Amino acid sequence: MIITYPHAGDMHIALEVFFREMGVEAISPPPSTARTLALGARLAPEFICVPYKVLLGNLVEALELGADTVLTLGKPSGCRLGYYPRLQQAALRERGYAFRMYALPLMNGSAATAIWQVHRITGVPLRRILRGVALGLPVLRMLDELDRAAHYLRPRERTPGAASKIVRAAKARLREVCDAETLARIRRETFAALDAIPLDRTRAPLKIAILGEFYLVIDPFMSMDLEEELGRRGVEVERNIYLSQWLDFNMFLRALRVPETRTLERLAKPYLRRNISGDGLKSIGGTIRFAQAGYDGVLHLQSFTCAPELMASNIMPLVARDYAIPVLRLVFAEQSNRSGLLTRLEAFLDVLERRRNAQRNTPYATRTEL
Amino acid sequence: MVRVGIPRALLFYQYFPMWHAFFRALGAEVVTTPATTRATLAAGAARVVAETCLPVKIYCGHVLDLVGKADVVFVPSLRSLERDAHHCAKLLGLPDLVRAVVPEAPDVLDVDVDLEKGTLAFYRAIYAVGRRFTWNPLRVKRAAAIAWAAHLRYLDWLQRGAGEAEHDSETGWLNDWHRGLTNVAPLPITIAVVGHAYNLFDAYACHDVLRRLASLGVAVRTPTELPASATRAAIARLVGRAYWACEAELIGAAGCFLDDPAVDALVAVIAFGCAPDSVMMDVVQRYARATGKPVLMLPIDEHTGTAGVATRLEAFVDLLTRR
Repeated sequence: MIITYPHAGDMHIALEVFFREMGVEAISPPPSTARTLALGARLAPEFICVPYKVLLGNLVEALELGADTVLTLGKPSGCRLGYYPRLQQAALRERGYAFRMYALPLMNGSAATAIWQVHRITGVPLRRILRGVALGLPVLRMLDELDRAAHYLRPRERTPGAASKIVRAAKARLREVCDAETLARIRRETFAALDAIPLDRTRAPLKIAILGEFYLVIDPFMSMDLEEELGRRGVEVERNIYLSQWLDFNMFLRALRVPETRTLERLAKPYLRRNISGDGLKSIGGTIRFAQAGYDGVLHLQSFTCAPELMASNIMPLVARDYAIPVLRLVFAEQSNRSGLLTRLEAFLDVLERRRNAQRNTPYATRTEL
Repeated sequence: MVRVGIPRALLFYQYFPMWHAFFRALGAEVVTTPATTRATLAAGAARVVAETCLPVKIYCGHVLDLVGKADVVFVPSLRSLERDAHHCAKLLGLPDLVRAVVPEAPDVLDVDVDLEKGTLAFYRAIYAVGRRFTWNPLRVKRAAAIAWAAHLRYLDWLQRGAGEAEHDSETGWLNDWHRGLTNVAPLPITIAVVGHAYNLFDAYACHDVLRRLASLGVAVRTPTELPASATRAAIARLVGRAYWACEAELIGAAGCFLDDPAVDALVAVIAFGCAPDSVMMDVVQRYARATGKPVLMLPIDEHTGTAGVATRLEAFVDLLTRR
């Protein structure tokens, strides 16, 4: 049995560590590229959202490498994501691939059910699976910490690209982690290197929040390296979803009945009174939260024809007006290209820059909001 | 008397008799909007983001039509009608959408229908709607019973082929549709048209697909004639379990018709950008390939031209005649 799974940001790094520690053979799909998307799009229905096409392409490329067991996400409700496994399975079977597919009910289960499922699928004793979790989870947390550090450092570093270089190297090393000591050493060395980056502390970078559909926010391939691009342009970014947070909630907190979105629900209530599936409610609530936290602008990421985000987009102008925060809607499809994205970003950054300068030079009481 | 406005769009086509009976029994007057026109669509489309699907744009247009004609507008949020089968985000968030994009709309009367939460929560939701009209829970209960009976009568009427004999104010709108379509004279070709009721029975939205096919000398069948048991069995055959609350209208109906030897081909009317349709059509097309029956997929949006639809339907019927 050779396990594979579609990409989701840096998830594959933690999963490689997890399966190695469990003693199960697993292959990550090759990094997503234009070929991945083209392969997926060929087998996908035309009007489906772009994450489906990329994920399907990932699976094709992994099956080409010899994987025979696919683990994927199953069953959130109301959004197409829950329908992915059915369609992917049918499309790949039709192409003649032989494999077994298991949809882990991560988004409405708990750690216990997920671990039990992995046990049923692989036949590995629970003790070894827990050992895998005990090593894989800290790796995932460190990956998110690296991203957060990069968000802070990129707009402030004196040598452009220094932080990204260290982060990339650290991520490559994390793939090879096989015990807690190695992980601790990588962590120590990496953060020492990041601390040593010379910073220009006089800069006050624009702060932009990225939110929207899960895959677009966490996966640099799907968002065309949006975070790094913004960092290069001197913007500090923050996003509303991190993989480890997402996993913590779905594996542990839900079982303890901690609501994922109570704060966001409360914030969104005047505009959106119910959960509309997907990440729609989180996009509305998140925009308000970031506005209150003093962010200069929000990038609302969504894939073309994504229903929950489209609903959020229809409501968003009210939020943007009431909280006086500029929101740029960025829609991704397989036809999207980077130059289109960059043009929009440039214009948006110009607006934010001018807006901030105008606010600085105007006494608070007479400020006119954009 | 409170005037309750019910836009002639989206779930209207499935539940209007029920809603109508409910509000009438509570002593309210029910106001609905005339059939969709180009103006309705244009007014609605101006309010929402461009890639919003056609039916939702039409819905917003109908809500605008109710401004000044109704005291409240009834906009339900239907989440689930059975376990694990949900409606799409656009139907879930409909009341919030209306409040956001049609600020001048009459007061929005919303209700959350989520049968997954159990019958008690459902009764509470019904009572919350009834509270608007009466304090008396028994009166709400009676109105709900009357409404349910009206709904069952309506389903039964649809399945019997929507004959003209029972033309009345509640169902008249659909009767118009079925007039001339239900002739079961031995026509050479039978085509089943599948899609959401709000796409098929809104003549403006779908460019009159049903009547257009009928005028080409084709026997037309629609999902409304299928009993729930048949569509449920077809869903079980094709995909196992329903994921969408509207799965019966597309996968269920297509499964029934593709397995029915009396049906020669399938026309699927789907809204451009519709999330459930995009995935369900993949299943339908795969199954159609297995059965060898031709499928014509007609995506509709506000730029679809009537001439384009007519040409495609004619070509499709020609092709079937030659087969």
